[in-house]
Amino acid sequence: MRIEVEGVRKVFKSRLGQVVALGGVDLSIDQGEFVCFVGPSGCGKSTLCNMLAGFDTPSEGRITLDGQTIKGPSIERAMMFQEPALFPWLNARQNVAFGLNSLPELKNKPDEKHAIADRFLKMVHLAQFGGAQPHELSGGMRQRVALARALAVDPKVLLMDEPFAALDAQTRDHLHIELQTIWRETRKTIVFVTHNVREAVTLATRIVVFTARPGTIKAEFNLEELEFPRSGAASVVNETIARVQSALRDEVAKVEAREYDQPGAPTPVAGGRA
Amino acid sequence: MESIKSMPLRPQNNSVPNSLEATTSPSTTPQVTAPQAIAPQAIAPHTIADVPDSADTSDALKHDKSSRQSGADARSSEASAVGASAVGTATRPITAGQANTESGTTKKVIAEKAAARRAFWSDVAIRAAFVAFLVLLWHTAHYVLVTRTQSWSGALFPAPSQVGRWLWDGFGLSYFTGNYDKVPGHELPQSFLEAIMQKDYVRSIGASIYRLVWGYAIAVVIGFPLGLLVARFSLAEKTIGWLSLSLQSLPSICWIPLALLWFGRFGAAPILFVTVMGALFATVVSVADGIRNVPPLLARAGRTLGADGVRLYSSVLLPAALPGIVTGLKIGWSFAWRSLMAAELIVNAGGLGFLLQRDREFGDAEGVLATILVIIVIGLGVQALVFAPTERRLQNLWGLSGVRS
Ligand SMILES: Nc1ncnc2c1ncn2[C@@H]1O[C@H](COP(=O)(O)OP(=O)(O)O)[C@@H](O)[C@H]1O
Ligand SMILES: [Mg+2]
Repeated sequence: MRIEVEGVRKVFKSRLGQVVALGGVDLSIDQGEFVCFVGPSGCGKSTLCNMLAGFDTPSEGRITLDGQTIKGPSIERAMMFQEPALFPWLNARQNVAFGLNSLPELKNKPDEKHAIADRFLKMVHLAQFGGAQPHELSGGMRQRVALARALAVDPKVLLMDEPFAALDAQTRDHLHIELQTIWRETRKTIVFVTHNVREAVTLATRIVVFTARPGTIKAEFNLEELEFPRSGAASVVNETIARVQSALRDEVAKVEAREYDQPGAPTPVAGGRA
Repeated sequence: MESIKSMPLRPQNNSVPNSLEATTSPSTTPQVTAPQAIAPQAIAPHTIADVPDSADTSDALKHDKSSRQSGADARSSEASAVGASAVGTATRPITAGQANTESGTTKKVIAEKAAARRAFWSDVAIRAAFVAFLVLLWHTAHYVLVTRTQSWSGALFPAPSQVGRWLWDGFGLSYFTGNYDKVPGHELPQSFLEAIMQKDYVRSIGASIYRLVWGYAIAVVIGFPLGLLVARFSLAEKTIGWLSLSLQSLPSICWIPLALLWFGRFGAAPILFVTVMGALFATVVSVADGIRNVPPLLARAGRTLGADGVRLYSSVLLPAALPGIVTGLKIGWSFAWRSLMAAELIVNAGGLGFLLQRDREFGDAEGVLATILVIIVIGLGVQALVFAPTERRLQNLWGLSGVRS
């Protein structure tokens, strides 16, 4: 499994004119990596993630998975969103089993699908809640069901766009632990978008820092040597956080200069390089 | 509608977090424990090390086993208590977790059901009292205007008791009370059934409902697929969708002249035509709206899990649009019902609308009022017996948040 992002630019045309969301990104992701995209808001992290998922296509350049150009969504590249996006008419188990219906080898095998769904529910410690409807679960539980649902189809890469951003801090910490454990057990390739440096340093084997829009890669940090679990108390972890943050600081400042009223500053043009 | 608010949703809602705390007693599995049950310092990332994977899997297994035993006997009582509100899939399994706290849950469910029932009956009582008040008001007005001051003719402004008698006789019930008004051209009835068939209401209601069902069914069978097309293809939206919106705004009574020209002054065909035209466009518009209002995120979730084309429609978009579609069908129904009454008023072919017209011609104000009451009651009845339970079921299954997940 190898993902290649080659010279990818993405331009959105909107009412205000053109928005260059991504301004030329080159990146490759290998089997078993846990890659975090970090960058200021609006720098095109979600745009890149959506293109990896196949919801969108690059304006320039190309994205391939194992040499094949990504054309559309597929269970090879299951994506998780900030919202759980569970299907409210299905219970937790049926939600997890949803993607299995796309697998030809499981066609007309409800018992096997059921068993697989239960296995993944157990993986996220929700074995007892298979029969619960989404609205009967807490926010964190729903996001865990969504995680199980994405993992159940055994994707080549799991794409997560700020999956924990809407959760409270305690729940988020739990989910970090859970995701960490699952990643160590399965060595699933994961692309994880966040704007939270601490979250990235807690989880990633590699951090990709993006510049302000138009997003390009500003820096990469290889964290493979940094031992798990990464306690907030360990000085090396805090040093890493500081290093990533310093790479990010200028970019965040650019966004602030652009998006907040500045006395005497000229009105920024959408998509213009600040 | 009020009863929807008080439906037994909460017990299920509450039971889940409760069983969570109950089943994960010691702090061996901090991941599964409810967040508030954990001391803040135990949550730092380093707790990964404190939780060996093996320990917590076996723990989960244990929970699973022990709860499965109680699950079996819990099933029957749960099923009777919760099952009534569990909808859609008949095979909705009762989870081990729910079964674990079975006694508490069941008690809560029973309490909530009782509360819901009380709320329902208090609603009924309030409405009954209000209706009684209106009848009293009516009676008083009649007494003042007709009986005392004679400023209004009793034939034009009947008393509630007169309308009641009209209904009593119109449903053939006077067969039992001995004040049966002989229907011209008929012998005195030998049985209640015969009495019913001689009198107007049951026959007319039957005729109206029959046409309604047909007209509505035709409108739905045509309108539903058109609604799907409109939601799916922008060309269909710009053409069929636009046309439906325009025609929906045309009062269906405007179709009547055309219906009469095409299908003649008698018989059910012109009535059916008007009913279909009345309901069709509302159905197209609301089905299309139902699907368009599906949160795009649900469609994306479906697509990233491999659903596309027909399967995206059948397994994501249609189910997700269901609440909107039910609303659409309800709107279509009320349009059909109104159009039907309008058409029956003008086309001479029986039914409740015809009764209104006939009684007007004979100057029977109490007959007109009685028929209006019957029409209102049928409208309320369909709402209460068909649409309200469907909506309640959906809300039970989906939670009050509706379309959001
Ligand atoms: N569908 C779209 N149409 C127009 N502009 C878009 C669209 N999607 C994203 N953008 C713009 O592209 C930029 C990058 O967005 P996004 O990828 O969502 O940023 P983030 O890094 O915060 O996830 C933003 O300026 C956003 O306004
Ligand atoms: Mg984003």
